[in-house]
Amino acid sequence: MDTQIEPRTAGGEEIHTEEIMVNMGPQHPSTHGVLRAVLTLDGERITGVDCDIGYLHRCFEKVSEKLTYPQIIPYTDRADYLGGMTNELAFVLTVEQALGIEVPRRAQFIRVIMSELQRIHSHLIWFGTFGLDLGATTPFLYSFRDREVISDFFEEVSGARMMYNYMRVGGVRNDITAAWVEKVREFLRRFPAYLQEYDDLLTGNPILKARTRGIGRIDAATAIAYGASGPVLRASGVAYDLRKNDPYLVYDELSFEVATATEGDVLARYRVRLKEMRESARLVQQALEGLPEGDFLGKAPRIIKLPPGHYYGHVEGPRGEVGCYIVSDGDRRPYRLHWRAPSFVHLQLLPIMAKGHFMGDMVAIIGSIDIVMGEVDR
Amino acid sequence: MALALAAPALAGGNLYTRAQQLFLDLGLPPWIFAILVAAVKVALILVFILLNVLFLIWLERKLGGHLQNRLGPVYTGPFGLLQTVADALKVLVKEDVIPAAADRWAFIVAPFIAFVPALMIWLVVPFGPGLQARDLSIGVLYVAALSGLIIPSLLTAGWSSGSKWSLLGAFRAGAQLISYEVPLLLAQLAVVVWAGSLSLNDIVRAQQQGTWFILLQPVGFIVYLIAAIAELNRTPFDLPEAESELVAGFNTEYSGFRFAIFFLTEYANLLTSSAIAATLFLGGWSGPWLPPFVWFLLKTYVFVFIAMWVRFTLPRLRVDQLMNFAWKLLLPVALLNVVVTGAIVAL
Amino acid sequence: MMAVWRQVAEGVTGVIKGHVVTLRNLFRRPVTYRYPQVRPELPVGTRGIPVLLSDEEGKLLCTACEVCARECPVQVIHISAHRDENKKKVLDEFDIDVSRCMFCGICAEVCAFGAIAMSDVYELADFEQDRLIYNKDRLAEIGRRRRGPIINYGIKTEGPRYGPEPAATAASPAPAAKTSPPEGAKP
Ligand code: SF4
Ligand code: SF4
Repeated sequence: MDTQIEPRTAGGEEIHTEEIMVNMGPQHPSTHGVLRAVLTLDGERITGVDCDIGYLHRCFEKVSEKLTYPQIIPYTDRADYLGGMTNELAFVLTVEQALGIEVPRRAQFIRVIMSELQRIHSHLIWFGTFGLDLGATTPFLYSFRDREVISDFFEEVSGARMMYNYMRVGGVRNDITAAWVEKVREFLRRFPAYLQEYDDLLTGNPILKARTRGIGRIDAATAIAYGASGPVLRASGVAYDLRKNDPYLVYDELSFEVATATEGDVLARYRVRLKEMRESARLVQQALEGLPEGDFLGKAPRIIKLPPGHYYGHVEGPRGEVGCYIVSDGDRRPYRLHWRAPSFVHLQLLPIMAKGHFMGDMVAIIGSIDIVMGEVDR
Repeated sequence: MALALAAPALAGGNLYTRAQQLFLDLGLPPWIFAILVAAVKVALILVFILLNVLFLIWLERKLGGHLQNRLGPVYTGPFGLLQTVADALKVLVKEDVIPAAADRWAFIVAPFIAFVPALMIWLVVPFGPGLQARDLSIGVLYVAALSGLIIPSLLTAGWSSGSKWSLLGAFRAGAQLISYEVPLLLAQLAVVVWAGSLSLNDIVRAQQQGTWFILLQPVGFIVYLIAAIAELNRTPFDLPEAESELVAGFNTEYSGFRFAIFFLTEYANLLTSSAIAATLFLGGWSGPWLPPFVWFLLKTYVFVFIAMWVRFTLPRLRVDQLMNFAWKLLLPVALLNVVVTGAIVAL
Repeated sequence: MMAVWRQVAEGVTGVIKGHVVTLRNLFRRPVTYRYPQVRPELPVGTRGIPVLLSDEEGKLLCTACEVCARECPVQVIHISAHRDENKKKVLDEFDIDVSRCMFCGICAEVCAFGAIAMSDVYELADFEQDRLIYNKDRLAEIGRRRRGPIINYGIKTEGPRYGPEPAATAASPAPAAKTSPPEGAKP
């Protein structure tokens, strides 16, 4: 990975070469929205990456200061629009923790089911777009075909396919019905076949392996130093998962494996995510089995006022640690709200990962860290 | 296609002699007749290509749709068959944009540098017995020479656009096309060695008497298939226009009519490569029961189907892997194939 | 040498497997459908535009308590009311600017009178921005298309899949829309 431009010679004379600078994005097919990466290229080889973000900035944190707590919930959906359920969860958990509210067990199970379905949902989108980045258009449509089913589940319980506004302080908005549970079971029965299809289509493909092995490698130390979390960190060999390391809801009662890989390259991240889908399916299965009767929405004050102080809550989102930091001055509105977005953190790793690789690897790397620009820019 | 189907009646049968007689009776010099015949042939070939290209574009979308669990075009005409026509109309009424940074004349000329040779190749393609515009004795060589002309076109397009994406696309195109030209030619060479002739017609006849060359030359066919797909810039070798990397590669800046020409060329080339593959490996127009022309079309579309199927299955290679693949794997295999073929033929 | 061959074999099977998958899918029924002709069956509770519900006599249930307007996160509900002789509030205007509504459903949740619900009407595109401000009558009209009970704060409607024309129902169409500043100017 020598990034130095070697002097080129022809007939003993040195040829004058120049680096070119290209703007990848903000309108580029594979920057997953509006990321602008200023690349310095030596031929096809990347010598420098400079990320320019903020094209999707919607003042989420500032707007939140003017909203009451229940009103913020729909906004959190829009931060990472592919991980709405876990975002909402991070927020309501923080508020509940500040208020010291007990959440009914049924609600906790429902939350687990939703979080894990959300993880599968998000990883399916990642799988599709990752294939698209590598030039295979078909995985995208297959994964969207299967993701649609989960979207339908969400629509049935929450009323929306992406912007759920489903979690509530003290529980969830609507109960899930027996018919719904049966539908999810049916989906989980078919899900392994879907995954097998993805494996056959893409995982076993020699081109995919050649394109991803050894690309965008980061070691565990760097990943930790940069605050990476989620699949990016786990692919570097650190088995850190908030569901295990700081269990929330009822995760400590359910059995699942933390998917890890050691190589830290694009292929490792790919494998970790595929494995996570399997584990999430297992978790949903268990949660459906253990689903107790009871309330889905517990008692919460009608007007929510957090006592003055600082609160931080975090959950394991599809992309990593989703954190919500609230500073309250005792009002109905937060004094300050900060959102820890895993994509934003992982984006900082991009220059390290991309340096020395080819232009074509750049898209694979961006795809492998699974950024959502809505979350990066907020 | 109806016109093309009528071709045997026009050129092959006794209509030809009768028309010739008519001309001589009228006292016209024979060269006028020769020119007229040539014009009719060219017109027929053009109609054949354009109709097929329209169909191919539709097929690619429809097939792609169904391979991906989608419907593909449905709204325009039955099964969306008129989708390409609608798209062509749309493209033609688009604003004709020439970027300010572009090298004007080169930018304008580039699409046509590729388009004209793509049509010229069809001069030697045998549609059926005697159904060939010109039976050149160096047919294979002629095809190879003309298909190589796409490289300057893409380089010109990429260079003259004045955009970095285009330039990168052109670099890739140049490197890739030149690299894959070699195994492509070697694969054809093995067939030529076996048939003992460079004329496409002779090659078909050789297969008519013996077996199809795909059975005698399986390795050659696979090399041809891979190299042809690479020459056509199709996935998994679509690096020159890799949309997820280079936006649209060499045709990033092209729009409207000029883009349509590039698009047309791409599919005309697909048709050409398929037709050549059918001729060299699948026995061309030879076959029982059905008329030769239908056999020819069928075999061409077999190759088209494979190319599309591959496109909707595989991811894209990376630039260096592409080069390695061509020079380190495909070329030795193709060379070995030629040597072995030569040895067998000599024995 | 063995390793190389194994790799080649793996690669070839990998490629072939992929092709088998796509070929199998070629003969599967497509999952997409021709959208405007074929429509999805939406579950009750799907959040389209929030609409006003009426009782059997066609009277609006809304009591103009303005809770929904206050709780709407984007402040797109504009309500004005006056008091009649009995000091009872009478609703004059109830506008929702659907171009800014985010269909979160909070308004339906907080209404204590069950007077507003999320409908399954979502095809709201229009050529003029003014027409996107739905007034009381248009909202009520969609509400009257209701069929079945309220589930998950939402209703199912029948009839046209889009919102009613403003001119057809509104007593005072354009000016009313202009005077309704949906901004959250109120504290
Ligand atoms: S819709 Fe309900 S909440 Fe809104 S003003 Fe009317 S009664 Fe009050
Ligand atoms: S759905 Fe949400 S945004 Fe729309 S009017 Fe109701 S509360 Fe406001």
